[in-house]
Amino acid sequence: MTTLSVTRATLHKDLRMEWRSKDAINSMLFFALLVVVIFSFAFNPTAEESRSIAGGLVWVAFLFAAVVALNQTWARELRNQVLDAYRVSPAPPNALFVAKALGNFLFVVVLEVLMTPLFVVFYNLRSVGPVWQLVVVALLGTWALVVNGTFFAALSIRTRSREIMLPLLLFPISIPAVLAMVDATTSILTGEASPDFWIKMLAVYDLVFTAVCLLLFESVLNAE
Amino acid sequence: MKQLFIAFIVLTLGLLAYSTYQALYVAPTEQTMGDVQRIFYYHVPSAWTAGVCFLVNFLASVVYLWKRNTASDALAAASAEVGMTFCTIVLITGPIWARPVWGIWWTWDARLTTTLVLWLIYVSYLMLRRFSAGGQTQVLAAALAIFGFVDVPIVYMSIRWFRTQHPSPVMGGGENSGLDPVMLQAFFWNLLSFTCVGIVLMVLRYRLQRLEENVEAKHAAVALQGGSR
Amino acid sequence: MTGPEALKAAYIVTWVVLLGYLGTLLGRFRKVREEMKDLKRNP
Repeated sequence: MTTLSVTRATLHKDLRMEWRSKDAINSMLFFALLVVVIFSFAFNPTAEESRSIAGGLVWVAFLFAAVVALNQTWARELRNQVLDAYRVSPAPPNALFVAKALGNFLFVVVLEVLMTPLFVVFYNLRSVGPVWQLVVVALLGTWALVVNGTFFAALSIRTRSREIMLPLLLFPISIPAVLAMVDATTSILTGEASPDFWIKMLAVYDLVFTAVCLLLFESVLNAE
Repeated sequence: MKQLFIAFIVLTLGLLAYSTYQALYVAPTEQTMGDVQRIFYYHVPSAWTAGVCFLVNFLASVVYLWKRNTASDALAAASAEVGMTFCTIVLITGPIWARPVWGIWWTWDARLTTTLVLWLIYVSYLMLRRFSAGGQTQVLAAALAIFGFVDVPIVYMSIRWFRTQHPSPVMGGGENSGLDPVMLQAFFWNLLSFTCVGIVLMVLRYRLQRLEENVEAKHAAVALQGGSR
Repeated sequence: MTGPEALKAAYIVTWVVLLGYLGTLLGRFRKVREEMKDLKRNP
């Protein structure tokens, strides 16, 4: 079995299960919707100056919603001893990791696509800068959250009180990525500054942490 | 070995007393800031010691993942906790200095924010150690330690781009950035004594970790015997 | 907060944190030693 075929098989399985149950996407969507509504009480969301905080708001909503899906990543595999089976099989561990990360990436991207119209409507958003840059920031930022999130979900699944542990591990490490996403989004929405530095930052962050995840995942999977 | 360590503790206490005397009475009073500047003699050496501890933590974690020996894991646990202690001192003495000098307690600039993020990362590291069970702790903690260490330069770069207000390092800068020689001398005495305190605490914490491992192994052995009887 | 007050506060805080940490270490040492003794007495 090659890495590619294992990755494809695992990803296919996860996507089909999600398609049938729609558990992760439904809970993420509802959670993000709640965050949008609750934030609207904190300030006047349609005011012109709220444009400068919209970047932060959107990403905080996505970050919290993503944690909901990330927490589910390994739960099913642990329950049915799939991870133990995987350990004794000759399949490369990184194939499993990449499949899980890609699956989560797709879930969060779908969430973002579905939520963006809501944000536009509820917060009266209008981008001054080019929209394609927003897409780049969203893709890079989502991968930054998801690659580390998938890895830390594998860490936290082995601890007591797993569900609380994931954000506690993920948020401190993700601070530079969140800063980059928020600032890039804000500078595109307001059109006041160039997001180039932040986009480069996100690309570097993605590369570095993808490498670290791939390097360490085998040890974590085999931890006794 | 034990006598050597006790001698080292006594030496450290002597050094600490002497360096504090140097900082409070020998070093000249700074012209613009006045006496507050003397916080510098505790603040910067604490930051240095925290940095050394976190470096030790990273190296010990890498060695652990490579060799899988419990000794380097115990060293990683010890250095993370001691580093956290010194990092806490840095985060408390900093605002106490900033209030009379800048007029504010805190500012979100590169060095302050990076230190705070560093502190947060190691809090999460210690929480992971506490919350994970059995033989998995070591591997999981070592993996997280590597993530944390890789993250720090990225945090620093990104927030440096944001804004910077912290005074730039006073040594090794341009012509006017140097310290008075007497100040420098007091600073280095404190650097030495704080490093020694860090080493003493790390050795103690390491010994404690080994003892705890011993007790746990004994408990397991007793449980096994009880089961077979 | 004035200069000398801040100076005093910072030095005291440093000592309190260091001694406090040392205190928790010693407490944990005592606990481990006691447990060890218990284990030896009734195995």
